[in-house]
Amino acid sequence: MIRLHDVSKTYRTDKIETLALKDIDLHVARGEFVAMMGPSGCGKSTLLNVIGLLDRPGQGSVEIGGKPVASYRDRDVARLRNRMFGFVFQSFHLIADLRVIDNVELPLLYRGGAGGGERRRLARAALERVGLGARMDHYPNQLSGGQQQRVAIARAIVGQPEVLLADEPTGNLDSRMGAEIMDLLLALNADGTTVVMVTHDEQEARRVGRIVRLFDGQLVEREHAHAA
Amino acid sequence: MLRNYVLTAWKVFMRRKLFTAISLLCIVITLVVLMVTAALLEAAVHPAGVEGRSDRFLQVYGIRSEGPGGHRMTTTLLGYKTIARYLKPLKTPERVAAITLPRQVSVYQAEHASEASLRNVDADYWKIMDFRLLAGRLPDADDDRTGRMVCVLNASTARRLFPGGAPVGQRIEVDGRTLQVIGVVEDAAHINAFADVWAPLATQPSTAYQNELRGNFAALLLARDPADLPAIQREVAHAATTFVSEDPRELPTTWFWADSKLDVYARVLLNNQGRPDSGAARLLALVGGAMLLFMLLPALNLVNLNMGRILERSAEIGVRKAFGATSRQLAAQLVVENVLLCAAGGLIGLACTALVLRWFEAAQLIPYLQVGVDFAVFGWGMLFALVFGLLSGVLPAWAMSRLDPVHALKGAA
Amino acid sequence: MRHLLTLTWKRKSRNLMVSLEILLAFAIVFAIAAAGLRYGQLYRAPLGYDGADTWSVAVLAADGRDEAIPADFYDTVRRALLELPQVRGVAFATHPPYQMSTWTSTFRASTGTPEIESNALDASDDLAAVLGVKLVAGRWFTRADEGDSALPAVLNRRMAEALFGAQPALGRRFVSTEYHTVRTFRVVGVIEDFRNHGPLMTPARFVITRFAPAASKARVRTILVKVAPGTPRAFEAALGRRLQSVRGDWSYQIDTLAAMRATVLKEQLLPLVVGGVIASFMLAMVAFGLFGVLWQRTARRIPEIGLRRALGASAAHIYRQIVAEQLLLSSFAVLAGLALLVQLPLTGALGEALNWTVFGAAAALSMAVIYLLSLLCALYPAWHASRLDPRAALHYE
Repeated sequence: MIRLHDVSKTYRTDKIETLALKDIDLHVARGEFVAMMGPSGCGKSTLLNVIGLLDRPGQGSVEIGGKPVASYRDRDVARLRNRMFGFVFQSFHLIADLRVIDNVELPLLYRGGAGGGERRRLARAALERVGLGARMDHYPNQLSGGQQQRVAIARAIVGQPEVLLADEPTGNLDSRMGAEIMDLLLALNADGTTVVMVTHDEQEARRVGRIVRLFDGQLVEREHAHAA
Repeated sequence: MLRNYVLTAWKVFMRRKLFTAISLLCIVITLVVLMVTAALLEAAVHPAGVEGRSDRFLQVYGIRSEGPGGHRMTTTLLGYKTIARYLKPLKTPERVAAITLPRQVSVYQAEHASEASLRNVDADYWKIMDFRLLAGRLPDADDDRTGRMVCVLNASTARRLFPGGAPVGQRIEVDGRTLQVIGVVEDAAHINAFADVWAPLATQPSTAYQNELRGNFAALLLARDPADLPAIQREVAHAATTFVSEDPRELPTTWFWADSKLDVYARVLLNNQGRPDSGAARLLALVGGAMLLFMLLPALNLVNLNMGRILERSAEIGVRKAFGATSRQLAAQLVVENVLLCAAGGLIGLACTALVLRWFEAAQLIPYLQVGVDFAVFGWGMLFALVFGLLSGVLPAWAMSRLDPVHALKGAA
Repeated sequence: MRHLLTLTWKRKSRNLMVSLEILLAFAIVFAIAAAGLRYGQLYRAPLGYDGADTWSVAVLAADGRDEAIPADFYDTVRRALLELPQVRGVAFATHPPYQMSTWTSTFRASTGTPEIESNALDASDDLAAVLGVKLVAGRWFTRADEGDSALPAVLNRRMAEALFGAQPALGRRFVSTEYHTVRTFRVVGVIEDFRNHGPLMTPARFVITRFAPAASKARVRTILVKVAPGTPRAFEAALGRRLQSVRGDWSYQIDTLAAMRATVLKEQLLPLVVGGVIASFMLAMVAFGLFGVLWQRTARRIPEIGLRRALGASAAHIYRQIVAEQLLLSSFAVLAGLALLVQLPLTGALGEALNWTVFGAAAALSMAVIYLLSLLCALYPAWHASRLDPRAALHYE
């Protein structure tokens, strides 16, 4: 469902050119849980961004759901992002002066169609799913790190996207909270959501269906982990 | 969606109260200057009160004659003879008044000499203007006919000359003539009304004015109906073509025009006496352009403040983009924020404008000036606020929508 | 220093907007400063007359025609006025000083030489004494000039140079060809200048010709009366009555030159004052805005500042750096502004009004104001940044 052909991406700043990705060929099927690993600076976050259409490749093609997105205009890309993907970031990126429930509603605002009441209902359902139904009216700075990340996950799934893209979701959390988040992600994957996750942690990666390794912008090996 | 923009805007303002305050101050200062100017211009062009019938009368404020080839040229005010011969007989106007421009005279009273500005006006003037009579009566056609030596004072002058009160019936000496005060009217600062003392034409030092084609007169023409105004203009323009100057060989061509107030100003400021089009549209365009230019620096100031705010919010913007906000939606967000702030600034500015105008009145910078904040000024104020908000919001909005979410999210991570 | 330059250049797009704003502010301050300095310059230039204790009477005769005033009116009025104890001198002129009327005429040195336009005035023999006009060469008009075929004239320096170049003007003749008659003039005296509009008038060429009612049809309608020092304003009544006794059917508008001067100055300075008030508001707004922008920038750079401190920069160092950056930014803007503004005197677009003296002084003044403004706006953010605890700064979220 997500296909990358010969994708390359170069960053140019003043006089320095960095080749972030080189000839990437990747296929993620529906329902998979893929972990992307590699040393710092090898381009895994960039790859995630390209998959999530936050970034355009310099070369190569990206297909989402069988359709090439190269010719899409900004408006179409935004719509696709809204419906297909949900993002979870390492530093949560919750909006500090909105309440938890408002944060979770955010993707629905940009979807259009749903009225205020409907949005609220869906947001509440998402919060229940991640186990934070009781914290609806709190502000992000009143929650622990793990709770904030769970809110972020709720935000990512509120629109029922097909793919969840997580960029080092447990990077800022301690091991106990990190494990909780992994449990949540695995549960969501079991329910049918495709998950692509960038991680440093070998332990976490082994719990996942498939590992993709990157080094210096190139795929190194693919291996299938044993089922956890 | 709009509701969300507004709510987000509110949150953004409250998040950084200092910057909201600074931006608001900048907006208020700019809008106050613009609104005070608009109020003064409105009062000049669409006056209320004494010249309340302005939409029904026109004024002739100049006569220009040119020699062949444009070598010799004279531009002056009308003489009484011109008004009597060419304007008073016109069919369409209901009334034609002949008035002089105010001039400084010395007023002598027993032991006391003081200065005042005096206008000579005929009885029709009082019917065209809408003065509030505070005491006594106004001169009428009968006074004109019998040549009575009377005068009318405005309230301030009456208080100044007769501090004890009861000015009606008293006598003052002006231009070597003794005049009896028959009435007291309110103070007025308008272009046709401004004066301290009004006296009939016959009180002038000599009767020579009756034979002058050029002098220091202006004419007011009152129409029966505002719809008649174009017809009056045509009639007056035609009368000018029949004008016979004092030296038809040297000065064969003459023009004079019946103008609205805006036209009068336009003709004077743009030196445009020779064409039917007074150039009012050009004057308005120039004024509008000047105002826009004036808004440039404050808009730039606001743009800089906004840019800083955007950079602060880059992570939030990145998140919104990641979750599907289009560039247009983000730009709209910022424009709404900006316009809201400017509208708030506009309302505060209106209050400040009212204060500034009241100070103007009190300080008597322009004597007898009475300008207030009315609907027209309110409308202008909101328009300025909107234009200002768009002007200063567009650039940051564009920048915001072009923000690369990858960098934004990485930058704050 | 170079380090600062590279930093500033890197952030050039963001700096551009701020620089533009400073540039505009600089331009506005420059405009006000230049206008003010120019007025100051004009004010100090020689006026050409004194006008102390002098009153102006405008004769509002009924008729505009010259014939309305008989030739003997002037002598009669002079004698009548001199009888008053307070009156020290009586003179006549076409228009008084401190009145915004201009009368121009064209002259030429001789037929064949180019026409020169000049301000003109008719004045009687007593004017120099009454107004306190000092001559730099020659003499004023006297009774002895009566009946001369060439009308006596007094020129100011500019006109003398325009007509005769470097050669001495005294005694030479020139002509005027208006109204199809050739009139010949003879230079009897030269004055430094005669700026009839008042001390803020741009210097112009001036020709003063002798007023002789007996010899020509010309008539003037302004009487200038020199009175004893300390004469009260109430004297006006006595003056008015005396004038009425000469010709009761005319009207007279009496004013003191001092009052007229005050009015003219007020009118001319008003736009400058209004502009100055508005400019100060604009500057205040720019100051606030600049403060805000600087504050935001410093806040954004807290991690960087923490790093610098960790690497050994002292608090004073940070303080100086931030202030220096702001002054550098302002310098870019000011230099760009000067580069643009210098075109004005170079191309002569504003003529003599923006001469190099005014330009230099205004530029210096404006630069001082802008630098002061930048400094003030940078002080508090810089102080705040230098006070940061390095550890806290590095962990700033």
